[in-house]
Amino acid sequence: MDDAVSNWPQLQHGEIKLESSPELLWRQVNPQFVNNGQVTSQAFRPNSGDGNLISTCREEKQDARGAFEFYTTVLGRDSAGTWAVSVEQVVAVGARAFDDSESETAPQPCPPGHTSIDVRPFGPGRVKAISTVLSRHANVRGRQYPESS
Amino acid sequence: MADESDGFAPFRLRGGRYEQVGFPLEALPELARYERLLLDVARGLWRNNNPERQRLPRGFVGRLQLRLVRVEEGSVIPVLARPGLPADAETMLDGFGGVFEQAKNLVDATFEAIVYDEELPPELPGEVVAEFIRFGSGLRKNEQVEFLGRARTVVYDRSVRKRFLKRTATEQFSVEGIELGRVTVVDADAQEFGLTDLRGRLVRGKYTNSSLTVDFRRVLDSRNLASVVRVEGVLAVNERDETLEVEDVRSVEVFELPEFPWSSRLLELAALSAGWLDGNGKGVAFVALDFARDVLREVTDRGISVPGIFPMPDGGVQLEWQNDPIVTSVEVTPDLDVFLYRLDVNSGNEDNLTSTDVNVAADFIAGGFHG
Repeated sequence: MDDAVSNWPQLQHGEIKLESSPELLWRQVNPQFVNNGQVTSQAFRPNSGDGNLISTCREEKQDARGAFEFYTTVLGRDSAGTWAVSVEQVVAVGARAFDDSESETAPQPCPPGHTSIDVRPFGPGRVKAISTVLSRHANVRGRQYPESS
Repeated sequence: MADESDGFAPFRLRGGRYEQVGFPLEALPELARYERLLLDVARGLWRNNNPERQRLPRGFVGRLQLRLVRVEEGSVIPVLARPGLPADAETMLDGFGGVFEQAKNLVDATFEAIVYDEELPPELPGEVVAEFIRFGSGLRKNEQVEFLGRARTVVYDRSVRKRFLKRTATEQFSVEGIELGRVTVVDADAQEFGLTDLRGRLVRGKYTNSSLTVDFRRVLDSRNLASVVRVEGVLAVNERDETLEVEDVRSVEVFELPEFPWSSRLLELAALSAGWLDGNGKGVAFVALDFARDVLREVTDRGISVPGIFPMPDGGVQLEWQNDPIVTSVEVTPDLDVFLYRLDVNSGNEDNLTSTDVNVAADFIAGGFHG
C-alpha cells in the first residue's frame, strides 16, 4: 500500500504539502453514510466532480466543531458529524495531503484550513482500498464532533 | 433481416440485463410494445393509402402478429417472425403485406429521427406518436436499443427517450416500475387502490387483473398497521421520475421483513428520495435492495453480525463489515452488478469477486470472519 508514487500531479501555487505527522484532518460525513455508529468507506471516497481529491480541514487551522459548523451552516450541507484521520495515516496508505486553503484552487467559500487528500494517481481499485483503510482509522478514532456519548 | 421466412431482427438490446446470455423474461413487454407499435404504424399507413376503405381488411391484425422465434447473441438480438406465411403470402394478402415492410422501415426511420433529434418522417401517421412514447419504458439505466435497419447508427436509451418526451410535451408518461408503500384503500368493484408511500403521500392506482383484489385485500390496513408492499406495474411518472399514479399492476408483494433487526434500515433506504447526498444521490433501486435483503437473510442464518447498510450515490446498496483487521463489503449496483471486496487493513491483502449468487456472496463474507 505504501509504494512510492512517481506521477503525483504538480502542486499549484499556494498548495502546501503536509509532511507525515499526527495532525488530524477533519472529514464531514453525510448522515446516510453512518449506520449504527459505523462510517462507511464511501465517506472517504472522492465526491464525484472533485477530481479524486477528498476534502478535509486540518486541525492546525480549524477544530472539529468549527469544521462541522462551517460545513452545515455556511455551506448548508448535511453532516452527521466530524470524523478524523491523521496525516501520517494518509501518508501510510500511499496518498498525500496538501493544504489548499490559501491557493487559487481552493473551493469557494473555502472552509478554514481546507486540505485535500490526494488520490489522483490511482485507479478505482486502489482508491477503494485507500478509502477502506482511512474509514477504518476514522471508525477506530470515533466521532470527534459532536462527541459520541 | 431480408428473408422474413427466417425471421427478422429489428434491433439489438445491450447493456444491463442484456449483457448476460438469453433474453430476460421481465423484458418481454418491450417486444410486445414493438409489435403494437409496428401494427399501429401499419394500420395508419394502410388507412392513409386506402382512404375510401372504412375498415381494415379481414385478417389484417392477425397476419401482422409477431412471434419471437429465437434470440441471437451480441448482446441480445430478438429475431421476430410472422409465422405460417407462405413464400408468396404477400401477393395473396390483398396487398397489405407490403404495408408491413413499409411500417418496419418507417418505424426505423422514426427512431432514427428521434435519436438524431430531427423532424419525424412526414408520412408517419400522427396517432402513433403515443406508441413511440410507450416503447422503451422498460429500459433501465445503461440499457440501449440499437436499431439495425438504418445506415446511421441508431441507439435509443433513457436519455433519448426523455428528450423525446419533452419534445412531445408529455408531462407525464408511463414506465415499468415499482412503488413502495402501504395499501390503505381498496375498491374491489372499481379495481382501484390507494397506496400511502413511505413519505405519507397517497398514490392512487388501478389494476386490470381482477385476481389481484385478493392480494390487495390481504395487505390492506391502516397506515400504522399495514405491511409495506411493493407494487410492480406501469407507473405514470413526471419528468422528475416521481410517481403520479399507478396505471396498472402486475404484482403486489410484501417487502417488509419485521423479524430481522436490519429490516427497518432497508426500508429507510427504500424511502430515500433522489438528492439525498447534498442534491446528488439517486433513489435506491429495488433490485439492489432485494439482493441485499437476500444476502442479509443468508448471513443472519449463518450467525454473522449485522453489517453497516448504506445507500450508494448511483442508487445501489452497500453492506460493509468493519472488523479488525478485516473489512468486507458487498456493493450492489442498480443494474445488479455485485462486487465483493475484502481487505486486511494491516497487511493490505485484498480479495475481489463478482457474483450474483447469494450463497457465493455469503461464503465470501463468511471468509472474512473465519480467516
